[in-house]
Amino acid sequence: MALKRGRAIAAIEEAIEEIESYFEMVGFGAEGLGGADQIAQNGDSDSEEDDGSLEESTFDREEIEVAIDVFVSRLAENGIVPKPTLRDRPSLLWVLERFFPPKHRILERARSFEADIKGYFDVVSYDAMARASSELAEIRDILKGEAKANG
Amino acid sequence: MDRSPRELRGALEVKLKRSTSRIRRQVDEAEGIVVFGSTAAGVDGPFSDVDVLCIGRYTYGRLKSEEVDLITIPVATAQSMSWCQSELGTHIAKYGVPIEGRVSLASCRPGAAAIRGKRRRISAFMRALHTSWPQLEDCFRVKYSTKLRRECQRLILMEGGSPVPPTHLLDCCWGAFPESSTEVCATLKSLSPTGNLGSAMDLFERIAEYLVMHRGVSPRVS
Repeated sequence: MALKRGRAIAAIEEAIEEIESYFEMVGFGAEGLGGADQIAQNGDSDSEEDDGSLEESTFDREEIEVAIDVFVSRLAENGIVPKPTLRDRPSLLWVLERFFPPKHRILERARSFEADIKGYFDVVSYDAMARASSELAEIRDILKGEAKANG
Repeated sequence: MDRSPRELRGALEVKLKRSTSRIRRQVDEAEGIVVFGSTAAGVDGPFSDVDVLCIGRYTYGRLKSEEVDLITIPVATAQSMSWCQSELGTHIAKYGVPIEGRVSLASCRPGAAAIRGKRRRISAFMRALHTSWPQLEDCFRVKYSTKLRRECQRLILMEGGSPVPPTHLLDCCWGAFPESSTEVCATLKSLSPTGNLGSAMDLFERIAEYLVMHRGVSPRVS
């Protein structure tokens, strides 16, 4: 049983790269630019034009959402989680809840991650992305530790 | 199917009782309240939340619970051109029902910034799906083709100068008029990533296939 759980957790840890690679792509990797490239990519300030406030780097919620769905799909394909339906509202938290008890700190991290990437009218702020990136790194570390402990 | 302000006030009060104290406080402080979305259109289900716009001495904000999705805006914003021409502003001016206070929302055509934002959202999805589509489980393909279809419908309406209607109406139109799928496909094609035309066309064809397969079927997609 422990071996089975250990394998599942190792598979989740591997699959999480689907989400991490999106964060790296927009500059939040280990040696990332901290989103500097995204400023140039988006380069707009639709809602801030009128009040003259400073332009802030923002990120599209849609792209993160697709990365998470690819992560869930990969796990379903490998039989780690059941084939999802839209009714399940599959997410990173939905995956982790299957393998960790309700009060585990990894679930707390996953909840914070999901709150951060929710964004505001589908736009995620730089600060929220930075927080989400650290939370994802913490989740990965916990998974690594758990996978090792479960052999 | 439209409901009277009185009915809507009753529906909101029921939901507020089950909502957070923070949301109740914000609604209590409103100078004007408008209900919009599925509840205002009379197409809500027992588990639908109530979409509410509160105008008053607030900063621009959003509070969401399972019962109520609340947007607060300052009075000055409600009268500003950027709000009146936004996707949400034009939608509420046309389909929202004022239930409390003096609310006068100018009816405008969706502005250039709103149309640009919508195009950007569709492009963002297309960009992300460009490489990911083959890896996605079937339920996600249905979700994204539905989302993209609705977003394209909204964009077409906005470009034609109309506010976007409640989602339920978009879904009804999709099943009813064959020409709507041609228009949606053309919009989708125009916003496909152009870097690699071959794979962009492949993605477009796959999404179009899902649109046809699920014609008249509207899964619950948030």
